[in-house]
Amino acid sequence: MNRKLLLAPAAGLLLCCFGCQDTVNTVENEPQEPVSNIRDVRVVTDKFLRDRLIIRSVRMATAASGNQVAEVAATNARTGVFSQAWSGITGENPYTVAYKFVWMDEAGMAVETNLSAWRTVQIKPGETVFFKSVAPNARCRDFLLNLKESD
Amino acid sequence: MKFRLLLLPAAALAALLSSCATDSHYVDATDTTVAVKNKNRMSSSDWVVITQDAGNALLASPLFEEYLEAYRIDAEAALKEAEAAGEKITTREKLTAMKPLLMLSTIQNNTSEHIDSKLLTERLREILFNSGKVRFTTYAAGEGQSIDAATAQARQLKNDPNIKKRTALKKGTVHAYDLSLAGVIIKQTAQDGRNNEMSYTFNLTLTDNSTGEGVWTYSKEIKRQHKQGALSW
Repeated sequence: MNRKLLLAPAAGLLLCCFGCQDTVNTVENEPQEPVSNIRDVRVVTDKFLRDRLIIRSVRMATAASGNQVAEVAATNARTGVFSQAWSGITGENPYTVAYKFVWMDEAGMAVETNLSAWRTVQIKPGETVFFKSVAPNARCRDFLLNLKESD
Repeated sequence: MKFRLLLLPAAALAALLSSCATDSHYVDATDTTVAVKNKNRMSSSDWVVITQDAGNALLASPLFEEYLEAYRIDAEAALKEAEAAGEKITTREKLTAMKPLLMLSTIQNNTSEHIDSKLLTERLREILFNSGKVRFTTYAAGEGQSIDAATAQARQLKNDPNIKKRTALKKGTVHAYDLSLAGVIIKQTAQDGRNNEMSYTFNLTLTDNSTGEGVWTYSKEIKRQHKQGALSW
């Protein structure tokens, strides 16, 4: 009897947690090509960020102007009851991430322009965002995306 | 023991003095994540955000690129025609004539705030110019934009006896602009209890001044929210 009495509030709490979930479901067509169209190199100094924000693809294309366009798709993986509950307690739902693109010229030197600025984006659990940037000129071939958790 | 007793008030005084000190330091002006934002007015970071978004849209616009390509073909034909008619084309003109000349026109301020739209227009002009897509003029500009009076003043120097006549600039050499950047900024606010919302909508257009047709248009709303403290007024 006592055990049943203990189980009831636990079940209620669990139900409450499920009810509090505010995640995003997505549907997409099955990609016909490999998701990333370039090879990328990642330097991870924050493993929490790496695990919470999953990089899905890194793509580059040439715009009509001849300028390169970079797009990085990332999904907030902080779904599930415990992640949701913890995010709620720590005030990290939605998850806020800061990002900054830096473009490099043909010599590999960073090109500083008004297009290069730290920005924040709020990402709901399960949501996929696309970090996108256009190269400041047609001579830029490479890019670097900085990512960090925002305070 | 006495020495320690003396140290305590000294440490307390040092802590007090350090907490009273004001610290002024440089920060990254393009870092919108740490920028201090005005609750009810446009802030420096808002200009950074709109410049970045509009700049990205402009540099990737296929329709604007179509216009630039058509302009290049027309300019090349016009130069050949002028040369055939005996007009002397300078080397500088040959180098630059394939790109349209941009003029910063008026950004209408439909907010109750004093807004210096140069914080947007001059940054966008810099992005466009450094991308190699356009030239820009400082001879003519819309209301609220900067004009460099030196071009007109330089032509008056020919009457100055100290000026070498050969170096005096002639009339009829300033280029007319081809493109103009104009727009409007609209502010909207909303309040529900202690929740406040403020947004700025930027509508920007690039117009081909030879036809009066728009070649690029962009709208972006920047929205910020804040919750007023229960005890604040």
